[in-house]
Amino acid sequence: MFETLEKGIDTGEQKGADYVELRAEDVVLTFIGYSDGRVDNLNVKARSGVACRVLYDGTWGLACGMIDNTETLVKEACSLAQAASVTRKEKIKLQEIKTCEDKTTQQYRMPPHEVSFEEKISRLDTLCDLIKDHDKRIKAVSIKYADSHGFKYLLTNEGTKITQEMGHVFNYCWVTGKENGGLTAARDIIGSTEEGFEYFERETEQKIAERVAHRVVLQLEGNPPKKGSFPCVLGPRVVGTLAHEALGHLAEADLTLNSSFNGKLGEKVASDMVNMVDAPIKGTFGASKYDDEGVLMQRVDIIKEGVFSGLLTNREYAHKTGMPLCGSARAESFLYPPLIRMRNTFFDKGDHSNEELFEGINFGYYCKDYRGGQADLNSSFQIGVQEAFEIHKGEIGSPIKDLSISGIATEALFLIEGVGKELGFEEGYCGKGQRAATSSGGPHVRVEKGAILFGGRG
Amino acid sequence: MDVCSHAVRVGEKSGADEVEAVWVKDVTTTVEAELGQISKASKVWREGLRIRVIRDEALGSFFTYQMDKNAVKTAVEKALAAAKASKKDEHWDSLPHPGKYSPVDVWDSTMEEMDPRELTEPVCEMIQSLPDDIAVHAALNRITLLQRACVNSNGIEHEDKGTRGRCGMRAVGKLESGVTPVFNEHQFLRTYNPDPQKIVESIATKVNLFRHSDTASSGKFQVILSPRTLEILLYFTLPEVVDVAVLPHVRFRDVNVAAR
Repeated sequence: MFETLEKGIDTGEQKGADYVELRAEDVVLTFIGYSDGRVDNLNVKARSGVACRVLYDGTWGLACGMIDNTETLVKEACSLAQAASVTRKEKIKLQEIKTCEDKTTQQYRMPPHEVSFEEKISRLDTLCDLIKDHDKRIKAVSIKYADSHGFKYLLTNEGTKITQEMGHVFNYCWVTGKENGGLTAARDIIGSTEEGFEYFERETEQKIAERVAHRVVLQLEGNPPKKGSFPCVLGPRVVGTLAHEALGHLAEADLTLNSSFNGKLGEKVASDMVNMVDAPIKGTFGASKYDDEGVLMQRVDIIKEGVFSGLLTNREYAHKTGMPLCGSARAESFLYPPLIRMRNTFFDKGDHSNEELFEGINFGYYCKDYRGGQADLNSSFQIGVQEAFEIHKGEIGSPIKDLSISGIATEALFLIEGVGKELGFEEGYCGKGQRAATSSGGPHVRVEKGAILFGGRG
Repeated sequence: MDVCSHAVRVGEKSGADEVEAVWVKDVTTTVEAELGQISKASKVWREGLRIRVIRDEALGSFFTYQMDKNAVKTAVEKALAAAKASKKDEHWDSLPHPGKYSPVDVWDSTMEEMDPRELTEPVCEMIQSLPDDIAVHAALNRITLLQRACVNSNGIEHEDKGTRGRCGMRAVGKLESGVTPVFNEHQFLRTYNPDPQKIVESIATKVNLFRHSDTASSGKFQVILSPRTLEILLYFTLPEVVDVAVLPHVRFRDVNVAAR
């Protein structure tokens, strides 16, 4: 592989590129779509190719295609950059890095690509049966299973030469329940970019079935929420969604400059007890040793004791903003350029017990798990909650159905009045133009009335 | 077409009851701007072969970017292995049979010969035309040349090509404290006629409307949905209900018959 890539590096330098980066991959992906006891589709994809990226006269050129065409692609990337550079006034520069040669490996016990299709489908059969057996009101079960395994290769004219073994396992359930004409659904997402198929020995079919079926039943039996603003306690997965969607994106350096966090580095943006972090945490979705620019992945303290302290950067934006490199440049595949992406984004733990978080709330809501959400660069957010309960006099009460919450995250940060001691996470994918494996989470967090608006029918 | 025909022959010889091979080739050229300046030009060649096989009424599929004879043989073997592991679809009918199709002209030959420099002009025009109080988050101009070929064991042999363009931007309005939400405006084209001024006007109108907006309150109100809003609402609700791929399979054949 590297022999072919090295010829591409020579070609780029001969054409006059200042920086030549060749990122090749050879990966096999398996996807199984399954619903109600049958396999809808079983697809396998062998993905291989190379992305040739050059910095030429201060402008990026990128050409992606087959590895055998590397030299032609490098020439094309140089021509593209040259054509685009004509209008550019400020030339793009890169933060210097200490280059390295390295090879990383996955420590699987059960490599996903060595597990038979039959075994993978048998697991889905068991999972589907367990979910349906949980409650007769459960009417439909849809499961998506995916895994991958392969290698990524990175070679630059600066001397970086890295081979990273990569892979993942992923399981998504969407379960629908029906009672007296009322229809509801809940989902469950889990996965790992570190473990192989052995991950499902820990995340067993029984555990998944119990979790997702329980959520559906709670939604069927729940009361509609009241509308308005109330004090609330947010569970780790809801906190994680806020951390990722409403705040994390604002800390991605390419977005920060046009966001409500612009110019606020060093300023107070949250209550003192708020610490928000993005880091490659071992065992979570989105972590690897190096990013796709060959930079070691490192922790970033985005908010430290309420002060906006750090940005996620790539080499271009680290140079532009003067902030440290952290290894956040990631590409979905060889068909895309690396973008600044979150890895594992979370609120760090505090010192409140769960009892303390609920104590003194006369009436409010406990939002335990989210169904989906979105946010904007002005930090406005909307989150659909799939598991919620009323809080009455400091105690968890009746379940709530069809709850959606909204607010302005930068305002809500000042109204956080309690942060729990135990962290929880959820794996998933972020879609900032490209798909990237990420995870997010945090501890339980208590928020004052006025921070979050509850939409409801009650 | 040749690689598809070859794949179908290999599939039939290997024991598949039915085989379908679809070859795709997209070449996409994009010029992008970030923070008010052209930042990147790219060209992506995506070429691959999707093989679907049916054996004993069970389906398996394999996609590969490699298309030499060995790669095709491997792809067929893997697709057959997937079909073997998959479950019998008792309502399986068959892959499509040849029929009469109307030609659709979606090819703009000007896109085929376009120089990347020509793609930069609308992007520059967009970022230079916006007022100072609106910041461009990202702007792009993109053209894609698409080619497709499909061969199946029921006698279908078809190839087609088309062009696609996209020109647009994402921008935020600057406020005294913070920014507006992101506003998007994109034109999706089959023939190359981007209108950068129209994109700029649309973004500026949306930003100005936001600047003079009131805060919404929670509750039940009468609402008028614009066609676009209604489209989005339906997009996230109805298609899942009418998509044959997610309908309960007991109804699959009925839908198939009704569609004919």
